[in-house]
Amino acid sequence: MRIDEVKKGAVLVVKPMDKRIDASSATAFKAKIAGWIQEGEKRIVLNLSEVDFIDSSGLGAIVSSLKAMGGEGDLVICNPRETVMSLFRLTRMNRVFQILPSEEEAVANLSET
Amino acid sequence: METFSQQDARISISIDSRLNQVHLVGYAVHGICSQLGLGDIVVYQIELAVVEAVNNAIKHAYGSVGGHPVEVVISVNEKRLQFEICDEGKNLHFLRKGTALDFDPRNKTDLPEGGMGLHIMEQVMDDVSYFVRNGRNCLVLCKRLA
Repeated sequence: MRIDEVKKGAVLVVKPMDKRIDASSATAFKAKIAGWIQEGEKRIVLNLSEVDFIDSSGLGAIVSSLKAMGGEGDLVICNPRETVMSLFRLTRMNRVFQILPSEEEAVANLSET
Repeated sequence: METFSQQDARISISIDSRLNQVHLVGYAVHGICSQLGLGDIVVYQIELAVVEAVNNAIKHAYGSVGGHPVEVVISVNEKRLQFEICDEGKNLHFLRKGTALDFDPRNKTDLPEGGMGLHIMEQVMDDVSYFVRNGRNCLVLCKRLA
């Protein structure tokens, strides 16, 4: 699971480069995000622009990452494709996560908090 | 569950019970559905529902142990698209369990991290049924066309 990372001020932007976050890759994805959280990252933007398929295991890994912040930080999503967005709506997870249309808006959102 | 005639188009795919093989089923479902004029979001959701069913067979029927067959039979006519996802593993009986995805979005500590697959299947498909016959378990997903 290749995930690009770039720090923008206090915000870490992570961008999975694999097309699918699914049952076969969810564990590796979750471990990577957990690593950054353990290193002290509390403001994370998850840029999903390169991802064209997420299943419930992948979504569960994203939820787990949010919970791993323990209420001391936040994970914001940006640039999901409309198809992937439909998974968030099917599961009502669109009411859990802030999902923004651009990385700039997502970084600005977390920078203000 | 629709009974398909011999005139219906039908294709069978078999993968080994390993999660890193499931994407092949996804690609096949995506490719077929893309030809049916359903729109990108519906095609994605159908692929998602079938992937969830295959994941369930691998994880729960076979306990994530490789070396066992998961068969997906896709049948299509002008009225319906049907997927039968069959395994020879443990009988799941999971359709007897409640499928409501009930959580408070404001409460981040109690968010579900799993168990969403059946809810997704029931949201996307028009009919979800499960049968066991001669040691073979089959989950059947039906989607009406037009």
